[in-house]
Amino acid sequence: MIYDYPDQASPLRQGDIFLGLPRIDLSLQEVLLAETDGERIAKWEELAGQSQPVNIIVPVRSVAAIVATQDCDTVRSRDITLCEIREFRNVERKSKDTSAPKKWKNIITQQARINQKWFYLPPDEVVGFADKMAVDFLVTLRVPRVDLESLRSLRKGRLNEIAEEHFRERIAEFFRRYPYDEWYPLNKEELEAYVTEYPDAKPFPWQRLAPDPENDPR
Amino acid sequence: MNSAYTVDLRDGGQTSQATATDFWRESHERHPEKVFGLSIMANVACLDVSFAVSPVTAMPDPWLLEKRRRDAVVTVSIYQEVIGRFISRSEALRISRHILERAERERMEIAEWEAKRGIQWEVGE
Repeated sequence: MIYDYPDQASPLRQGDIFLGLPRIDLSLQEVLLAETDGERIAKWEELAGQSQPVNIIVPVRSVAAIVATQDCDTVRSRDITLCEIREFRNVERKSKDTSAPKKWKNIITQQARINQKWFYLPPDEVVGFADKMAVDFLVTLRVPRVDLESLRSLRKGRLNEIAEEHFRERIAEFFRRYPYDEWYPLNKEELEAYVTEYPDAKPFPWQRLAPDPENDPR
Repeated sequence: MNSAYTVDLRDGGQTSQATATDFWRESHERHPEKVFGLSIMANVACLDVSFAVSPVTAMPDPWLLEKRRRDAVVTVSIYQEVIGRFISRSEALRISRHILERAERERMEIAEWEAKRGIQWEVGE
């Protein structure tokens, strides 16, 4: 499919796919302190002013992940950032009941243009993807570069040239997005139609006020 | 001490004058912060001034310095002990597991919510 299979000596690159890296989940409401006098639970706000480091217990799950760090940084930076890879159906829930190829075709091409939070990865036996997968740009992992280099046995594949170009642009687009309310330029009628579908949309001032012909200076 | 006292008084006078102006009233919600900040600045000024003056007026008292050092150590140690509530190892592990499961569940819930929003493509036909 869209993958290459680098040998173990090949250096780390953006788009390298690893199976079995640790994803840590934190709670700032329940910080589990592991100190010599025993375990304690605290809120992070109680610890935020501590100048000394503290030891805590964190849950870790072994997950699939793809290198997000750019090639120039994968050579020498201390840490490598990766994004978690999960089953596509669990990342893009629009596809949870999809089975027909025609439906999949629309999701993979059209939805990919709209929803910039994920990147589609097709199944591949060699890589170890039995099902359609997706990179979730919102869930990141950070691991030491040297440690990751020593674990290249866990690298099961790499995006090929076409896919890597696409991935590189998609991840850049994701982080340079800016939030805006898409209904801002709609006129009154268009906004009414929009609100029936998305009731949360709140009109902007220029959409709220109907023009008053008597006070219109024109 | 006289210098410090003067600083404190002067600051109080400035504050009360400032509150009478429109400028200060305009941001009255933040006013307590400003007063607090000025008060802290005044206290810092007090401290600085007293340290600066004390060598002239008195010899350092070694017992007092040692007591201050010991007090600081005790304070830090107490501060470290009061953070958090002791729990058993098994409870810590149970909470840790719960944190992970909750994180995964919340990601799924948000994905569900987002799937119901945005452009609904006719993915079927």
